[in-house]
Amino acid sequence: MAKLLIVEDDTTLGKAMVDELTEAGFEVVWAKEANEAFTKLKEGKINLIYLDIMLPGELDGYEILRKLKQDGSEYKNIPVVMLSNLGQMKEIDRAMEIGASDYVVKANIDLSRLVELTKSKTALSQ
Amino acid sequence: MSDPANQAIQDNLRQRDKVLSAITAATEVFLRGSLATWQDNVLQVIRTLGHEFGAKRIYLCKHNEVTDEKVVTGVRYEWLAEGDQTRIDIPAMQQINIQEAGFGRWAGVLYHSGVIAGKVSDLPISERGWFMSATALTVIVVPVFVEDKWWGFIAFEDYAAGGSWTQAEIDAIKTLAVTFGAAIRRKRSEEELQREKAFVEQKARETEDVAKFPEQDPYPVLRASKDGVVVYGNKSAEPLLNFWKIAVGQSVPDQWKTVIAEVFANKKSKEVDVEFSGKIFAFLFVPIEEGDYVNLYGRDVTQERRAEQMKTDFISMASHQLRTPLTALRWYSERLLKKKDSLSDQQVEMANTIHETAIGLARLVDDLLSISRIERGKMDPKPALNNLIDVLKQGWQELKIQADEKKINLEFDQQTGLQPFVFDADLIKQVYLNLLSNAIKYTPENGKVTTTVKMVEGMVQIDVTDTGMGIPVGDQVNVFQRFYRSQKAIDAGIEGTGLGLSVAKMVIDRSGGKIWFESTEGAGTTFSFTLPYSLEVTPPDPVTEDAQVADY
Repeated sequence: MAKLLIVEDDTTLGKAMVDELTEAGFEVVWAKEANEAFTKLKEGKINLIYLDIMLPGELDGYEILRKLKQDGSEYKNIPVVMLSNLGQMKEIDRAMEIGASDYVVKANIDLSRLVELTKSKTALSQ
Repeated sequence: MSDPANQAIQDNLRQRDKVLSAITAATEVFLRGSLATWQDNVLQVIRTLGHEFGAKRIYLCKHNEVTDEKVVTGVRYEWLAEGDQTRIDIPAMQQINIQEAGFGRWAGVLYHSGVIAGKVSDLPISERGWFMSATALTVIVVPVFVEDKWWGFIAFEDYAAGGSWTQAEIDAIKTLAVTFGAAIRRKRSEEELQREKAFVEQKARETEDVAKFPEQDPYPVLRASKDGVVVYGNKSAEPLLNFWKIAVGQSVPDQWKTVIAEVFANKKSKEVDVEFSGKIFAFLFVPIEEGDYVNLYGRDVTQERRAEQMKTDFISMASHQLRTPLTALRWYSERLLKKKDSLSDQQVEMANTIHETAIGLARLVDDLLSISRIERGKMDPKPALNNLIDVLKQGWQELKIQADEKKINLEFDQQTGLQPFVFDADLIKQVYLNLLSNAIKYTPENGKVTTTVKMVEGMVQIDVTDTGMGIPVGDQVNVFQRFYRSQKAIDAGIEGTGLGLSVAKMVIDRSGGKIWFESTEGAGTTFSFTLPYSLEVTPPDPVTEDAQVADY
């Protein structure tokens, strides 16, 4: 089964995603900021990353994405779905330019839809 | 030389010499005298004349009124040989109606440049009343004209004891009257000149005072040629010139040259924010066509902008802060609903309500953000080409599940191929989401909601058609009113804020499109909006670029 990394600083939202996707049969690891995210990435093969844009710490979502997608990155081929709060086209466009493969606007999506999306994204990458 | 005829000629000549030299003296006085001493000059002249002529009384009358029917005159200057009674001091003598006083004949004669001359005893009885002194034996009256207008007359009483005047004397006195008329004329033009001079000086003072206006303005005022060279800057503009590192006579920075050229070409004023010395000034660029320049009027808007910024920051922050708990409500109520088997029907219903309310609330936050953004007059600060179908499909996808739950058939009918064109993707998506979610909300189960995209008269038209309950005719006029909700919808228990359609209208109005609807109660509603199909990205407006402070 596919392994997911969720990078989300909000515990409540992170937990809901982790629980729902775990129940859907995925292996899910959860990081709350950049360092933790890269540690989890090193720990084992990740098939899909959900990446929040606004994050505490040194690196925000864009910067993590840039590191993931930069030349020579071993994680370059892992699809990244951005977790957007406001759904502003500008922030989404920016993420897509850097190399995100999709985005979701958190308040505008149900978890059931997130599960469907995860299934289709991981099916593609595997 | 005792020939009487010869003697008479010699006397005549002597008399004429005397009269002429007196007149020359008088002319000189009139020519050289200044206006300030006019009164004294006239009196001096008539005194001299009186002495030289051996007259008893000389007076000048100036008409107050001359018409065909009447002449009203008054004594203005008078000289008396000693011991006679003055006339100038008698009020009645300042307002004499010549006709009524019995001198009507004089008026006729004098008016035609004639002269009244002779013995008083030869005058008609009615005319003798004029002479207050019984000693007045002779009189000579000559008219004075100023610029062809009958000004008045000069009268000499008891001038020649014999009562007869030679033509030479009469001519000389007439010449005197002409000189006097000319002197008055000169006096008048001098007065006119003085008035003009005073007027010009007054205007100059006023202009000087007005010119101080921009200089005294506490706000910056500048003038630049249409090519952007500063030709004037008041004291308050100095910090701006320093900030631009220029002085009067030099060009403004290129960015502002563009604005100056633009307002001049468009003949339309434009307000632009400029930040310097820790303050924000809104500069109104006003093109002055007849002067080939542009005036810049600055206004300190630091406080205003700060307040706007705070409002913007607050709304932005509040939205972020609100959306996270809303997402939590949405997701946890959904997770609760997954455990249906361990919940009672009532609990499921409650969890459902929480779930739907959270969704509605998230949409409300979006609407409030859009309103705040539009009300600040800020559409997309960086207009870009967007793919409309992609944007609509995203919205469509977001609502698909909601439609599926109600078993509503959600169709998308693209009737035209579209190139990417310029529109604000966020706002148009918002409009579409509002229309589509309304359509889903107001359409009963097993209904149908169709989105159609087509070209109509060069505009892109998007129709959202539902098979819902329709809008009652009585409510139709209020559909786009903010916070308006149809009683029918409220009765049907359909959630809503009454914001969605007003936001849609605001967005479409400002995007250069139109929005409208057609509805039949019980059969369904079609909401339509159009967008200009503009494929050209116009460069961002320096105004919004400079005023840009945040995304919201």
